[in-house]
Amino acid sequence: MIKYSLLKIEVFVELLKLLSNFFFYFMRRSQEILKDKINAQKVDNPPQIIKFLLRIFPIPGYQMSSTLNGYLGTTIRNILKNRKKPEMITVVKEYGSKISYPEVSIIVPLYARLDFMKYQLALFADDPDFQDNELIYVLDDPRLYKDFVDYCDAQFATFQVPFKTVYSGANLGFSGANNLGVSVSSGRLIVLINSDVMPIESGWVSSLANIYKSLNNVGAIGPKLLYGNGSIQHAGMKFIKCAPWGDLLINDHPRKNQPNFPEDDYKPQKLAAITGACLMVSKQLYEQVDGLNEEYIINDYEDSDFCLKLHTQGFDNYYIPDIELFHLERQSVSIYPQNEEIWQINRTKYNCWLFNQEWGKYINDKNL
Amino acid sequence: MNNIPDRPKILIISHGHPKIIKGDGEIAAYNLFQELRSRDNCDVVFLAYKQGEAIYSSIPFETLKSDGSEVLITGGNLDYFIFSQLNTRLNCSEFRSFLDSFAPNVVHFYHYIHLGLEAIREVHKYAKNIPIIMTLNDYWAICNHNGQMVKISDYKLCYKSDPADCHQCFPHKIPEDFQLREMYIKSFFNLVDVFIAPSQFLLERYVNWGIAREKIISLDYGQPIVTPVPPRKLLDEQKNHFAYFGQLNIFKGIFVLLESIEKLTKEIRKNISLDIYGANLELQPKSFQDRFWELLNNTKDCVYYHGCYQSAELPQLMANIDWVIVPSIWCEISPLVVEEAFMHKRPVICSNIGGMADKVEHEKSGLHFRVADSTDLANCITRATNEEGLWEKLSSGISERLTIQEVADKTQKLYVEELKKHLNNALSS
Repeated sequence: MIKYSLLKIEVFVELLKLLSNFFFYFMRRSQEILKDKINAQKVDNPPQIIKFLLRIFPIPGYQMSSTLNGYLGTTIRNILKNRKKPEMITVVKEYGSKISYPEVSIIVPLYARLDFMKYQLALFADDPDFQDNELIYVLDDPRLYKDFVDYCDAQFATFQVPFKTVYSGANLGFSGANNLGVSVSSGRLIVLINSDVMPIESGWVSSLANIYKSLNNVGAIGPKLLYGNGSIQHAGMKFIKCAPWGDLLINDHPRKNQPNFPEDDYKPQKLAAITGACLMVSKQLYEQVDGLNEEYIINDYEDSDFCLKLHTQGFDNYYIPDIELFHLERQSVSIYPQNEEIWQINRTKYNCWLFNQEWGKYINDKNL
Repeated sequence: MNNIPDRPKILIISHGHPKIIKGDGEIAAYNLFQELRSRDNCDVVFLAYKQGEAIYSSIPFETLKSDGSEVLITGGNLDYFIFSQLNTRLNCSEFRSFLDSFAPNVVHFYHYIHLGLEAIREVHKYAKNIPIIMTLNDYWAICNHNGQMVKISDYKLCYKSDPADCHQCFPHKIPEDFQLREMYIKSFFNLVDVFIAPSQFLLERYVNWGIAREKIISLDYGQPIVTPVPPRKLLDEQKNHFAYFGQLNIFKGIFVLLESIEKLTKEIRKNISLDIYGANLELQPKSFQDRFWELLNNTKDCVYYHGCYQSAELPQLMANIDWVIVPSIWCEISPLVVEEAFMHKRPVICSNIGGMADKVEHEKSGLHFRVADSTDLANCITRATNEEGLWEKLSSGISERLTIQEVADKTQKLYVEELKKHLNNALSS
């Protein structure tokens, strides 16, 4: 009886595979039609069709490479490449007096929660660095636009930290939002920070800038990031092979969640990559490598991708253990609503696959 | 400002006016204001918040006294999680224009609630060289559970804030929200020059939470001097009249008290009386009210519930009792009821925690019982009734109370010291 039912399941699985193969075959053939369809749709990020594909099609862990190498990966990649770019309107607004020659532009994308902005401004308010550098908030969430202008007015009136806002009318994802922010920035140096990164003390921007200027041949640098309980959130990134994912390379976060023990050495450390949650780079280099790669869905790997782009051009990236900030990244296991989970997990797998397509060989060859 | 003004202008900001709301903190703020006003060496204004609808125009003020010394401000829309004033205009325009026109030399906050933490920054923006003093009246900044520092699920005491624990009490807020809450509050507390803690216990809690020890001093509220009523005339030679004064809610430990009466022996119950002068029963949830009536019914042979009382009646009520019981299951701050009992030389039986235990010295001016332990309280009541000479010993063990005059002296001295510091800082920079 058990054998019989197992058999039935196997038959069912085979049938499913057949069906889905047919589905992708059809999809590939009808790329043209699809393109039109996507154009006609309201622009979502990512397009509904990609969410749909990532939700219905199971990506097995160990065999994800072969699955994605087949139809799924390339199909998604093509759809993303060929999709209609969201129409950008680029609304820029200044709060407070414009800073004419800022050394640093600090770029913060806002998504889902506006209140992070209030927390940050409260903590930036007594830091002189924020009176002569340029703070740019990129609103990457059209749902929040309705309240945004009033909210910004109120925050400026209260904290009197000058800042600039930019809004594109669309949700561009992490890379797109940062690229937009950089495009309207005027500092010689760029700091990308997430909206849930909070300073521990004043002066971190100028300290980072001084370190940046002191390093030769520098690409991007990133400070140590801590969770609210003082444990480590980020101390540089490495790449490791992930056995359950068929040995694809993934971002590794050494010492994450461990106590912040004293370091042997507080000198900048050369590393292949650092997180995009808080990263400094010169504007010239940012533009030279075309900024953050917008091919990754929503976010994941674009920071490693960015650091490796700098690396291929011969620049070194550094982790700076001497400067600490909080990164109040949500620590709970599941951050997605139940019905979102499958596509979100598959999205991560897709991004990982894409990253490996681009960089797997380079990382292995260079032994990074 | 090049030197210290002959008549410094002091602005006292309170979260309420005692005319409208009679919390310990509001009363303390008003007492200090009145005492300073009676001295002719400073100009003092009492700005109190009045709760009401949000107002988005220029009229959130109400002047109470024709000399301009008492003013109400209203119209806020507060985010009570982080005490952030969402009606930005109220602070940035209205409160600011008030500062500009009164031009205080010292600003003394008795609370940040209602008006919002942003008011502190507004003072800082108005003039960087004026001292900002803050009296901490409760544990709101530490604990989102109305500052009770008691767990929501089982009323167990809490000793410090911890994002993961706070999330247990408020599951709809993630732990990171509590980290942000603390950071946000501290960003404003950094602008305060001196904190005043009404009890040593509260001081230690806030030092533990992160306020630098050199920035916080302990100074009790101080009370107006009253003539003590004489001890009760005894008919039966026993000091056996007990009383409870205060709000009726779960944190005040009224159930612990009534349960302890249930546990007394029949003989003791025949002998004693407990008068309950309690307010706001009608504001409590039905389950609380039901339990209260049930316990009252079980103890009706010796417990008498009188409803609320006016503070003017207090001497008269004290005249008829021997002991005051303070059974709170939260830490309290600097409970006024203990001061009132002590002013009339009535010893206090209280829980062995926090602000009560700070004021009442065990075996010297009163008795401590283990918090929330009705059996231990029953033992204390039995002992108080039976032990000869105990009342006299404890009553005479009550130390001199700190008066509002002494507190005003010390506070004025603090103002001057801080003014000097700011002046020196301004000169040296």
